[in-house]
Amino acid sequence: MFSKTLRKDTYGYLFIAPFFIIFLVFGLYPIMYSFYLSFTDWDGFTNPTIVGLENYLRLFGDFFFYKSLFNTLVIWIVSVIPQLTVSLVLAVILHEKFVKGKSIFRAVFFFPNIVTAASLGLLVALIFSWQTGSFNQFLMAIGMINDPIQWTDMPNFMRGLVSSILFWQYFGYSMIIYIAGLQGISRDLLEAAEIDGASKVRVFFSITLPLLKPIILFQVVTSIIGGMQIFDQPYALTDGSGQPDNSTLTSVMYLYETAFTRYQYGYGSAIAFGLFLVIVVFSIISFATMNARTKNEQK
Amino acid sequence: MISETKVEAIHDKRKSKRIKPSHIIIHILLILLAIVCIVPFYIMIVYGTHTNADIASKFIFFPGEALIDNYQNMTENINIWRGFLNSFIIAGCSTALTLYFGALNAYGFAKYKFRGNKVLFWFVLATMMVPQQLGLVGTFRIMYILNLLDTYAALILPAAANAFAVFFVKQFIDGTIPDEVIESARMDGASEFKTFNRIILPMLTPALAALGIFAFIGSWNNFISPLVLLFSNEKYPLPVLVQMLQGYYGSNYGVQYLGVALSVLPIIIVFTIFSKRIIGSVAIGAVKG
Amino acid sequence: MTKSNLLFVFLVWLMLIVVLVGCSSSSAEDKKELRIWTFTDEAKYAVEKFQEANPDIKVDVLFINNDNHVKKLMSVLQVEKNVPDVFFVEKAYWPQIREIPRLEDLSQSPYNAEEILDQQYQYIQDDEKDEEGIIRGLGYQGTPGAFYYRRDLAKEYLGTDDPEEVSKLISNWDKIMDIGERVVEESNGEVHALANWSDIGSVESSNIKEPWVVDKKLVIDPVRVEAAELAKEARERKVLANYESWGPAWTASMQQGTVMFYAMPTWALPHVFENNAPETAGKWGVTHGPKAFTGGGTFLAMYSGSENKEVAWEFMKFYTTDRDFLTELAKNEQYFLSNKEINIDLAPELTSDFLNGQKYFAFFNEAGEEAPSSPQSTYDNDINGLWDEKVNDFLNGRLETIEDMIASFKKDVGHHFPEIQVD
Repeated sequence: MFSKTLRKDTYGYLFIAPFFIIFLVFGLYPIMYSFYLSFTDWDGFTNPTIVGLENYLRLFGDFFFYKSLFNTLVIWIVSVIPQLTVSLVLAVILHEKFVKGKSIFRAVFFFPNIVTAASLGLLVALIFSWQTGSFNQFLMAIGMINDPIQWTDMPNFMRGLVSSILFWQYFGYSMIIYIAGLQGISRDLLEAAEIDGASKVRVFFSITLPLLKPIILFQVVTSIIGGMQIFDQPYALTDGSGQPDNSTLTSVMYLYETAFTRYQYGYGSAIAFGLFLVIVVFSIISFATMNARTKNEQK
Repeated sequence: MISETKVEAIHDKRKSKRIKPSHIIIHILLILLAIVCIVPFYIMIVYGTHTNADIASKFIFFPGEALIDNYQNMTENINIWRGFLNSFIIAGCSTALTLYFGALNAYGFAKYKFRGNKVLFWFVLATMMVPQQLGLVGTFRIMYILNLLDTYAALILPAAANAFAVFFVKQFIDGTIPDEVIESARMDGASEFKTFNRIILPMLTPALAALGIFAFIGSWNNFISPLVLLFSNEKYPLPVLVQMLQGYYGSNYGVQYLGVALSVLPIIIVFTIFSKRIIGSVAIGAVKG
Repeated sequence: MTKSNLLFVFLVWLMLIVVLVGCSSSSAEDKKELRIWTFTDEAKYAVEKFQEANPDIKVDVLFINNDNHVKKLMSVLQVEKNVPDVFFVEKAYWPQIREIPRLEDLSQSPYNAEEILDQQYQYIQDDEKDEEGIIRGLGYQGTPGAFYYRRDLAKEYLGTDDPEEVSKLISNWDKIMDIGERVVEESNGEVHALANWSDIGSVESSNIKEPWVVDKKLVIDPVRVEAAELAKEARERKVLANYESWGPAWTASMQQGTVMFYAMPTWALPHVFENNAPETAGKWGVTHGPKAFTGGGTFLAMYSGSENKEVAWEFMKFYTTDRDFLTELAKNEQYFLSNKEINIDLAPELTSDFLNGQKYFAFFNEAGEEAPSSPQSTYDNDINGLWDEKVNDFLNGRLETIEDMIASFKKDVGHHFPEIQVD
């Protein structure tokens, strides 16, 4: 029996082989190349010179790196909490039988995810621009303000705006993933619980939520990974500047700016690996807390 | 566990209960949210029918008359239909590769306990955490080494190694496909790959449908890789062409909006037509359940 | 392994190979070919005319907008693969790109570009040379600046719309500030003298004596600090409308007539004013402001590893010296040239209806002769960006004093460029 399973299990290598071969060439090589670059000083033209840990030491004391991490975290948290909760509620509602036009709602909520972040950023920038933005024009028309407000010069407002774009773009996406997860849960089970007198809220918290755990974990982890790499939205919104007061400068924007506008490839690579470490730490923490919680529940 | 009659009783109870006020409120909220989602699309399309002067000077809510002008202006320099074709080839092939190899790999990780399974899976997961923007220099180099610069293959092949797809499908397999299915296929004498292709793949449809949408849209909207890896005008996909519009028409927002709208419109149409099938296929289980 | 498994693996590999082979086959032709990369649609006109004159040459043009154009250019220059024979570079990026050791030396024979430079304005000649004085590119565009003004507003608030008279009234910044303050009051806040602080900044930054970095040391030219102080004063006295450059409010203001003066270079006439305010034709004029200045410009450079250098040089020569083509370009496209000999020949006859019949080539030729050279280091484009951010913070009050602003600026430069000595 043992030998049989072993024989079958080696098939696993065959299944994962095509992926890994492609991955080694197109995924790992670029990453390792960047890793090598992070120990060098290179402008792209002369040969890279090895500088040891110099880039990492610079990173350690770099005010902008910490600031960009802070910005990224703030933007991410403000967008991800409503994103993951609102979408879960919507998924559950759209899973209910009484709702009419389910598929239309699902499709429409997913729409914002289709548009490229670049055109979205441009649109929002136009709406919130200082003298001609329609938002200011609207506020003035209803008499709330007399002079246009320079929204683009307000750090917290701009961070909030980036978060809002992210939320708006991704809540439908999260919702669809939750819906896919809800399919796995037998409807009979939920209805039986309801018959036994449990309220919908109670069913949600004691049956649906625990059963959705793998999907929620998936969402949390991918949103950490994606969230720490926010780039397109703030880049398009601020035309790449990360202003005002560097408040919308995310870590990836900072790395992009360093590597591709200042052509400091070595330092840019070091920023990427610094950020990589941060993401790994956050992912492990979230994995650990989720697992700890299940263990407690099992007790 | 639950008897058939009991379930049917619930269904009957549902039917007899007519509209509740809370249901009306929920519907109203859903409709409001839907409007918020549609307005920017509407604005985008409407702005594409206006002249630049109109757009710069006031807020617009109704279609204008400049659609044909803007379109002619745009086609003078940009062959947008060729861009469609390119985008379609690239996104279509990429999606197919992502789905098949992603599922294959996820299945390998989920159902075979070979040595190094966990480590390799974590490794795949970890690669998602490296910011994509950085790989750019290395990607350019490897494409140059393999002589793939300026080919569709440079954009399509890497799609076969999509870590997100592996994670996504594995999570789905873990939740929904019991080992017994595979065991019984083995009992019937099916080979491992046959089992995957004939039995597992169809069972993965809901996950692959959702993943397919994400992969297709991701590839369709991808901008930076084609920009860096392609050099011929006739090979550029839509997002690069839209960016080129910005170069040709600098501050002519009307033409730019039209370009953006045109680049998004086909996805919207396809999505609207098939949304019932695509997202609905996810929901089939629900109806059956 | 069973047969079907083998077959499956085989098919997967077959597919990969087909895709790899099928897509990497490229065609090579033996015709005289010229590959050009550009970020500006102006190139279209020139390439068309060049092909008319040289039907035996096949020109392949790739057009990408500015930021992406530079990134793409850098990536191909780095691996030296797919590099175009000739590429256009915008002035902001030029100081950095002209130092890249992949650009052909145009000072040497057979090019002897010095002969072409002799026909150009001094400030362009200085831009075309790298740090060692070797010619690395040719500028085809003349970009001296002017104060564009609305004649109707000048008449209303200054009592005259004659360029000579207006020039006297705005010969220094103090006069402009006084006008601005008065105009805002008289128009109830509707009309401002200047659109934003970059009207002051772009004039002053043309007049610097030293680039940002000399011998790896940060140098803050006093002219730049003065410009920031002037901008602050202008903002406080409501001389500025604070329309963001290139934003919709800014372009709309040209049509609406809410700004009196715009400090802009030659090319703004067709590309900015006629484009954004077509209905105001005849209401505009150009005149001299407090100082001569320049803005923007485009340079043509050749890849040193090109296999088509002869043809590439033909094109570069064509765009900078071909009398027939350049005369046509100037007349048809209202294009002010880097070649001053041709500009001077055209000066008496070229007038602009948009500028109410003003002889604008004569005006710009005069401005080009006076235009100052502003030396640039490879760092200047990046550091300009940092400086502008700080000046904005200073104007908005986030940084309270000019000293705070400079300290914060130095800190940022030190962070981003550890190799530069900031104090």
